[in-house]
Amino acid sequence: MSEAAIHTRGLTKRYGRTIGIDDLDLEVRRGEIFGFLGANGAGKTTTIRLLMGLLHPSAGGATVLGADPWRDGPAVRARMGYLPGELCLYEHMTGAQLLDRLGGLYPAPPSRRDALLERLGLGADALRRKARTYSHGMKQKLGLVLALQHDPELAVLDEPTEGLDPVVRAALRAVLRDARERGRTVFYSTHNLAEAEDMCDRVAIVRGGRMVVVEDVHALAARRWHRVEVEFADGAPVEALAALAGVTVEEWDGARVRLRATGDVAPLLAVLAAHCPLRLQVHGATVEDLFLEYYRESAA
Amino acid sequence: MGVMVLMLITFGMWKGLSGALTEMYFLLPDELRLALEAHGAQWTTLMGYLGLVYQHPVPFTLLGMSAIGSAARAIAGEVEVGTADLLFTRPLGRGTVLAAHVAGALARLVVIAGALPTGVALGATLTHQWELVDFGPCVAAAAVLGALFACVFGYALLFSALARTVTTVYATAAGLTVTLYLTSFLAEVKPEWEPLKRVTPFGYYRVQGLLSGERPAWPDVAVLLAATAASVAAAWVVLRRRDL
Repeated sequence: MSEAAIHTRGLTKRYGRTIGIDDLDLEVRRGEIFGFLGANGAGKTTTIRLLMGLLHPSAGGATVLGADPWRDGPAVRARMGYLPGELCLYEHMTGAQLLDRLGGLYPAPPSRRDALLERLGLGADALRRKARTYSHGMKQKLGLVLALQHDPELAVLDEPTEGLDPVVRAALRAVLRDARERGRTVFYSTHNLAEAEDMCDRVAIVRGGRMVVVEDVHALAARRWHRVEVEFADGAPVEALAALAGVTVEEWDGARVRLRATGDVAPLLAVLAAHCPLRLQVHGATVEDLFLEYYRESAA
Repeated sequence: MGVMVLMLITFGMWKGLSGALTEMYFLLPDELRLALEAHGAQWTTLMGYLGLVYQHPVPFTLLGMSAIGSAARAIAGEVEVGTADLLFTRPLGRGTVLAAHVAGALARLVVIAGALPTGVALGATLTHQWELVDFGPCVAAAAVLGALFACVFGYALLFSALARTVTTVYATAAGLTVTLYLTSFLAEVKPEWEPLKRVTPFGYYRVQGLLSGERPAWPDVAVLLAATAASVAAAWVVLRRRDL
């Protein structure tokens, strides 16, 4: 039980001349929620498909729960739960049939099913309907129940919040934290930086099929910056703003100023409030911004 | 059901028109009659007339659609629709999934091929013509027909293991099936093409010989099932190694 939940070494997948992922080294500890962060096309889904034994690596290898997912596929997958990025259900079956038949393939009973259905808000009426009548959000909820109902040791979730409303997202966060409390591991793939920060303990960032960095989520949050655009009635207090720690003035045009703010934003808000801004816009950094940040650092 | 209805129509027609049909048969030009007999088609006896139904486009089409459709949906269909991600990420071996599809497809073929002798029994009972029917050969011919389309399913399954879309499987498997059928037909009517009968599965389905009891079914069934097993094994090897 001491080995990592997921361990990859030099994991590579090529599709002809196109590289899906390249030389990926990764270690996911047991009992953590591990974020796998990258823009669309970064190689997240390819990595997940390799971990699930759907793809054969071109080079390198992976162990999942101590076994090779390609060679020992059924035995490994019996201890895993999986939500695909693009969930396609057998549309002629009802939700209940899908849960019973696919859940029945696992040796473990679906001990978490009822609790999950309740927390994610998937009622008995919905389960009686055929999957073809489901909205995207309902399909996603059913996919989450399918992935987690047998309380797997390792859940691999590819973009799990796609199509979910904020209430259900919050419920999912609670579900995953409960799973972590029970010692379960979650591999959580997303392209959304804020979501990764919110849900995960550690985060790996991938870009162009290569690993950029693996960081603790608190370190990631400390690096994260916001772009702030403010317009004042009587001219921007540029000197006061530039003097603040973690604030860089990027552009200044008399009454308007554009800033980049990192870390604690309370002093910035105090200065802004004291000068009565007319308009304020805040943009969070994207995963691409974060990648460029790391890239600049490594180049420097 | 379609096959059974066809068989009932056959018995009904034979009961009412057997004399006229026999008369008409002997009015045909000798060359045409010989060509029909060479192809195993003659209707001067009820068993000979049944031979026409055993080669009728209805059972052939139903069996072909079932064989190729089952194979196409088995792997390429799951990949194309996206349900492969749902199925192959469960604790199931790829061989298990393949075996389940093979079992299902063979069961469907048994039902469709079995409708032929079932229709014979029903028709003979309803039209009171049991004395003209030799039931054992009817079952034997249906067994060879089922094995023939199991063979079609086998190579279609191999295409399915290689392909990513159902359309590709339908196109290649249907094209090959028509080619193999035409090869068999030409091998029957052109003596110099006769050796080609051995390389097409349709060459192992000789209805008149089977229905007359002159030819045992088991050697042909054995050859066709061996070819099926070889194709399924090849499909398994491909599926085991392929990316999904």
